[in-house]
Amino acid sequence: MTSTEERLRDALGAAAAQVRDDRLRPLPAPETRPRWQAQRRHMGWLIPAAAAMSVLLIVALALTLTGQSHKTTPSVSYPALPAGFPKYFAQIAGPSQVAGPSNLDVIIRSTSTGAEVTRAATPDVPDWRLTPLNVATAPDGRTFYIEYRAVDLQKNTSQIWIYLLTFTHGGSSNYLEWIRGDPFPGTGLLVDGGSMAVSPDGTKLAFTETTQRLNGRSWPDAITVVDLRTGVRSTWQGGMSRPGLTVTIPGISWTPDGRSLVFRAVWCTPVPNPDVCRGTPGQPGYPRTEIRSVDAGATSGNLGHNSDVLVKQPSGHSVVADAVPGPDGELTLAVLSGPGNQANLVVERTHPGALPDVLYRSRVYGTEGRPDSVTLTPSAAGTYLLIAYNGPNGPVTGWIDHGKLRFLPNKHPKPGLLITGW
Amino acid sequence: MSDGRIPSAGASLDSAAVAALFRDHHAELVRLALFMVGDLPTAEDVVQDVYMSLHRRSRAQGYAQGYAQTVEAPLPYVRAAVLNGCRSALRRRGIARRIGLTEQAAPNEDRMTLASAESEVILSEDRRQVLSALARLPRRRREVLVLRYYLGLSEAEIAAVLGISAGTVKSTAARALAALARDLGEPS
Repeated sequence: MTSTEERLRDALGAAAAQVRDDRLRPLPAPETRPRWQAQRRHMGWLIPAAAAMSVLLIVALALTLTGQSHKTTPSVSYPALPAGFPKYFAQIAGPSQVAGPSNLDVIIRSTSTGAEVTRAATPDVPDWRLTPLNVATAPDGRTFYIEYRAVDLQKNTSQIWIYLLTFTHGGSSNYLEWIRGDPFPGTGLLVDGGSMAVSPDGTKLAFTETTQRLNGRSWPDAITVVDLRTGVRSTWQGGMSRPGLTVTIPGISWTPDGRSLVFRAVWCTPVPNPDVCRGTPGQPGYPRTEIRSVDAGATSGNLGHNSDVLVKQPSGHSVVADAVPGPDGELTLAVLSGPGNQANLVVERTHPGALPDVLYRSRVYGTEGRPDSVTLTPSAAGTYLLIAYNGPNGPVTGWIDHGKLRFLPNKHPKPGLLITGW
Repeated sequence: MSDGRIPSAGASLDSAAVAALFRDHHAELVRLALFMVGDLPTAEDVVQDVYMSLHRRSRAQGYAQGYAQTVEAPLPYVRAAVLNGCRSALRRRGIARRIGLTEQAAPNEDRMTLASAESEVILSEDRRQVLSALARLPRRRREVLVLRYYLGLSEAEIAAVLGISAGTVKSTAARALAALARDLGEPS
């Protein structure tokens, strides 16, 4: 063997060893369809052929009736996306196009065209009813974790079930599988999902559960971190209650080093629906927010005692609607201010001991009173910041680029459409 | 290459056999694809697509009469399918690059690529040079060298995977090694 051959064999072996078996994306579990469906597949050409014939007939009819010749429609073009831009984003949207128990699907779309890449219907589990609540994206930008509320129809209790969604490059096939550690027992009839985030190294998943009231009882919010390799979980709970107020944790993010979790706690005076904290100052439902951090490496513990306050409730009418930690201790905040059903939105980056940099300003509109919902979601590499809020004409989703909002292409904008991860 | 769970020569490749084949050779196939396409996500996609394609075929074989498919040698067949998938991926990438749709990874993006693997501490500068020189070779030569020096296949086995004659394998390997040696500044 020549030295070239020896060097080649050595280099290939060493490079191959870098690809660890246990870190590879698992292969999909192909669905097994009944025979009649498989046989029908071979007649699948009938459907597109019939559709094409219908379109031709309609066009011919329209031309006959109007007497106008067909004009060429302008081609749709999309702006080139910057380097390292996430390739996919996830939506929870309805109505479902897939027959099943839920009206909602999780749709994965291309960020460059808005085209649907793949669609995951809600799993149909006998005696359970599942509803998708949240989607978080793994650092690879193409593996998604979907959080479902699973209601046991026999016992009238609920749990959190989290599935891993993976799909082939073309999206021709996808599959859902439980993550290790599932299920996550709930505390009442309507356990709800607050927020969910995957750690920067992709090995841990953090999620929160919002407070619910049932028969006059309330349960404190909790933050759970699951080791995706082993299923071992840590839970921080308690210590956040304040007299006469409900508390929820609707937002959570990992610091870029993966050591801490930054979360947003919201207190408000009790209102019939504890999800709604949108009152005006001094009125029931007016929210008070804090941004806190907790050491993600610690084991379970008391959330109030183990967390540090990073940002206190702003003065006046301002509310911190979301927060994302940066690599050097800075925080990017979405701050809403002003009474009424319209608010000023300022996205600013705060550095310890320095004045904040304003990244973006806009107006946000509330659908039910005071607006409170603005979500900031960093891309897996932390390079781009996705923002979603209600504008005057419906939901707005895009990323902030030099003080401007650049919209994500979306072929099916609908009120209530939610982009939850990318 | 014999394995009790892999169908023998001439046997049909049913769903269970496909699953067993990929369970045992998943990592090897991904590594093979990685050497061809250069980044792990694409390599995993290629292997997944081949896996799903074989499953669909095995289902069709089971459901539709007269569609029975037999595979003489499953593992070489799958390796060939993976290499075909890599060629398609590279072709798509080339087209995307030509029309300006290429999305290059940001410098700080956590993405496992052959290039990032090279930069690992345990990969020495010498190995990095060899892998870079290998990546510069034409596709067919690269395939022959990877099959021979990573998988350790014989000329006959490489010929079966690539669908060429053993003589062509031999000459291609010789030319590839000579080109590699020249690029590395070694006497061939």
